[in-house]
Amino acid sequence: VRADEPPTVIETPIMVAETAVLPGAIEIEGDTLQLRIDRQLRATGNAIIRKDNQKITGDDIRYDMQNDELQVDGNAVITMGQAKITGPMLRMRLSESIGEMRDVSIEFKSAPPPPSDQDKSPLLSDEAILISDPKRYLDDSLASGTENKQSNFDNIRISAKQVLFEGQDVKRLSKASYTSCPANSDDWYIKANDLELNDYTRTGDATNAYIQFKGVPILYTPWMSFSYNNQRKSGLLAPLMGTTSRSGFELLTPYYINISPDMDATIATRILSKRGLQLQGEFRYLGENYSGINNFEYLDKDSTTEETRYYAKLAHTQQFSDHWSGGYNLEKVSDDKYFSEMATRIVVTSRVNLPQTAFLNYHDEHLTFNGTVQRYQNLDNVSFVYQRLPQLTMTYNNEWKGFTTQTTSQFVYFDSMKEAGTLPTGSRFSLYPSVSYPVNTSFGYITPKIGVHTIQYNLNDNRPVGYNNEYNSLQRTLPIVSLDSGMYFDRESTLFDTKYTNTLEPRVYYLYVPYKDQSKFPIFDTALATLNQNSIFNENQFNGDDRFSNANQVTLAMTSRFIDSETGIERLSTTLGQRFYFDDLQVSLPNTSLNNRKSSDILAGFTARLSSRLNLDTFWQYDPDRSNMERNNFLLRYNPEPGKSLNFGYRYTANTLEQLDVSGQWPLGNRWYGIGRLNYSIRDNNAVQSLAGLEYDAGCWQGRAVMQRVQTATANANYAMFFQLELGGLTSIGANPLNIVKRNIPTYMRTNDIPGIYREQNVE
Amino acid sequence: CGFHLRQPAPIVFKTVQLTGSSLVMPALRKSLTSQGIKLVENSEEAELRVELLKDENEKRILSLSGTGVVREYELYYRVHFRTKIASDATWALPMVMEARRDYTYNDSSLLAKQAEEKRLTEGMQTDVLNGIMRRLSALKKAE
Repeated sequence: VRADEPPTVIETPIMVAETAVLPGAIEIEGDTLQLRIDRQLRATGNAIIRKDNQKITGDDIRYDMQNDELQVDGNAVITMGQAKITGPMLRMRLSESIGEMRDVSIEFKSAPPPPSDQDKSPLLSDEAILISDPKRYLDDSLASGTENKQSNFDNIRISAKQVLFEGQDVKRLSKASYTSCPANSDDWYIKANDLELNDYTRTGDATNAYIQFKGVPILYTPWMSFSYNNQRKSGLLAPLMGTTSRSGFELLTPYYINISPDMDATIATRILSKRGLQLQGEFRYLGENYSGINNFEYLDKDSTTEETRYYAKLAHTQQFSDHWSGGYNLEKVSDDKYFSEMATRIVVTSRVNLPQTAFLNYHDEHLTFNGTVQRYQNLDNVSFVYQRLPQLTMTYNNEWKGFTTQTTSQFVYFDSMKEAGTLPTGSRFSLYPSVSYPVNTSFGYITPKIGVHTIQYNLNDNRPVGYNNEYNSLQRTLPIVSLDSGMYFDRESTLFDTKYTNTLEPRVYYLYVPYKDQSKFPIFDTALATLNQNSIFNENQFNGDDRFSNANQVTLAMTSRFIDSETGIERLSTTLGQRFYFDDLQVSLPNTSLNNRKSSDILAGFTARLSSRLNLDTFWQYDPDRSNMERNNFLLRYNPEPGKSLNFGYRYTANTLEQLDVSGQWPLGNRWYGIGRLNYSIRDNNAVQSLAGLEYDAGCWQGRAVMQRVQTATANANYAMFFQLELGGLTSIGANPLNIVKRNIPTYMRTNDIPGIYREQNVE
Repeated sequence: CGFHLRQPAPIVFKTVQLTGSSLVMPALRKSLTSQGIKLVENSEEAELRVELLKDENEKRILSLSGTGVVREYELYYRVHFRTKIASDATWALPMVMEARRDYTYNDSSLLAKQAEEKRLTEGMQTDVLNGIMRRLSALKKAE
C-alpha cells in the first residue's frame, strides 16, 4: 500500500471468478486494488483488467474512468483469442482499442479460416485427392483435423519497436520482424519498416520490407501483402530460381492477385540470362454460367534470336441457356521452337499442334448439336492436321414402345493447311439412322440393332494413292446389323475377412457390315482405333468416317469382378476378350497391308484397387497366330500416405515402344524428402525424361532443388535445374510454380500440403 | 462353383433427391427411375439425397517416343459425390468414382484421336455411372 494514495482506498485483495465478463463491462483484479470512485481504478501485483474477450495483465494497471485511459507499466500483456502481445508498457483508450505499446513481441497461432464461400471457390481445386476408400479418407481427415489445432507448424511471432492499436482489428507496427518459425528457431524473418496487421481479414501488409533467410537478406520489396492463414490473398508466390541449358540462369517471380472470389490473376517476371526479360500473365475467372482462362507470355527481344517471342492462350466457355453453350480455345505461339527453348515441362515441350477453335453446342433430352470451326498451328512441319471449316454434328435420340432410335448426321468442310502442300479438300456429309430394341433384366440383356450408314463426298484435288484420275464425287452406303448380349452371374465370397460379391459377366457381340471399296476415299480424320476392352465392341474399327470396316464377326468377352459387399466398391476386375472373323477384313488405310486372320489379338486386363493405397493396372494384347506379344502394359501405384508414393510402369508395344517409367516421393527422415522420375526408353536406349529432387521441410519453410532433363519434340534435349524456397504462411494459394514436379510424379504432394501427422513422422 | 444368376438388388430407397451437376446426371436419373425410384425436388421428401459435387477430366502423357513426342495418353474421369440418408444427421464423406483408359497417339492423326478420346470418355462415364449405382445399392436404411 502506498502512502500517497487518498484515504478512500479499499485495500483488500479481491478475487474475481473466472467467468465471462458482461459485454462492455470492465473487470479488474490484482494483489492490491485501489479505487477512486468514478475516477480511477488501480491494480498492482498480478494485476489483470478484462473487457469483452480482451485480457490485459501487468505489474501496475491504472485505468482512468473519466477519460477511458488505460496505463500499464511493467510486463504488460494483452491476450485476445489466440494472440498474445507483450511489452514493457501500454497506453490505450480501452473502449475504442486505440493505443500504443513499445518494444513489443506478438505471438499467435493461426486459427482455421472462417467459413466463407471464398474458400470453396472451384478455382482452388487443382489438388485432387483420390478417395476411393471412404474408411481411409475418414482416418486421414480425422488425423489432419485434430492436427490443425495442435500443430506447432503455424505459430506466428512478431517483434516490433512500436505497435499502434487502431481499433479492434488493426495493428500498425513499426520496425517489425515477422516469422512463422517456432520460438527456438530464427530461420527467416520479414523485416519491415511498417507492418499493418488486420485480424479481421487475417492479412498483413508490409512496406519497405526485406526477407531475411538464415541471417542473409534475400529479397527486398517496397510493398508486400500476405495472409497469415493460408487464405487466397494477393501477394508474392514463392519465387523459382534455376538454370537451363537453353536459356541460362533464370528467376521467376510470380505475384498473385486475388481480384474477387471468382476472379484471379497471376503475373510474373522471368529473367532468362541468355534471352532477356519475359513477362507472364494468367487471368482466370469463373461465374455461374461461364469460365475462362487466359495466358500470355511475352519476351520483347530475345537476345539470342533477336526476335520478339510470345505465347498466348485464350479459353472461354459459356452456358447461354439450359440448352445452348459455346466457347473458344485459341492458342498461338511466335515460332516453332518456342516451347522447346522456353519451357521445361514435357506436357508443353511435346506439343506439336496448337488448337484454334470456337464451338457452339445445343443439348436437350433428345437432340444434341455441335458446331465447330477449328484449325491448328503446326510446329513440327510434318504432322499437319486438316482444318474443319466448319464441322456440324447433330444427333437425335428417342424411344418408342421399347425401341430406341438414334440418328447421327455430320457435315464437315475440310481444308488443308497451306504448308502441307496439295491435298484433297472438300465437304463430307454423313447420315446414320439406327434402331435398337434393348431387353434388360437383372441377370442379363440382349440388344438387336439395325442401321444404315451413308456418306457423301464433294471434293477438290482428290487423287488417291494408286489411281491416276481425280475422284471428286464419292458415295458409300452400308447397312449395319448387330446383336449385343450379356449375362451376370454372382456369388458371395470372403477374402481377407471382407465379404465380396464375385461376379462373372460373359458378353457376346455379333456384327455384320458388308464390304464396299473405299480405297478412293481421302483420309481427313480417320485412323485405326487402339484395340482395348472398349473398342473391341466398336461397330467400326476406325475412328472417323472415311473408312468403315466390313464385318461378319463375333466378339466374345468375359469380365469378373470382386465388389466389396458393404461399400459397393469394385476391388478387383479382370477381363478377357477376342474377336472372331467369319469374313476377311478388306478395308484398310492407304499404305497399310491387310492380313487374312480368322481372329483378332487376344486382350486381357487385370485391375486392382486395394484401397486407395495400392492400384494396379495391367493389360496384355497377344497375337495367337504369330505367337507374339503385341502390347504389354503394367502400371503400379503405391500411395500409403500423403507424401509417400511409388509409381512403377512398364509399357511395351511391338515395333513402337518399350519403356520403363519409375517415379515417386518418399520421406527420407531428418525432414528430407526425395522425389524422382525416370522415364527410360529401352527401345531407343536413352532416358526420355529424368528428374531428381530433394525437399527439406523445416516446418516453417521448405526448400526444394530439382534437376531434370527433357527430350523435346522440336529441338534437342533441355537440361534444367531449379531451386525454390517457400516460407510458411507467406506464399498464397494460387497458381503453383511446382507444375514441373506435379506433372512428372502423378501422386506428388507438396510437403506443406501433407497433413502434419505425417510430416512430424519424418522429423526424426 | 457357386455362381447364380444375378438377383435384382434394387436400391432400398423409394425417393431420392439428386442435386449438383455432372455429365452422368441424365444417365443417373434414367437408371434410378428405371428401378421405379421417385426423384423428388424437396429434400424433406427424400429418403436418400445424392449430391454430385464435381466432374474431373484428366489427361496425362503416358509414354513418349525417344525424341519426346507423345505416343500414348491416359485419361481419367472422376465424379465426386456424397450421400445423405434421411435418418442420418450429416452427409457422408465425399467419395470419388474413377475410371481410367489409355490410347495410342500420333499427332498426324490428331482428329481421329480426338474422336477416340471422346468415345473413351463416354465409356468411362458408363463405368463411373455403374460404380455410383453399385454404391447406392450398397447403402442401407437405418435398422
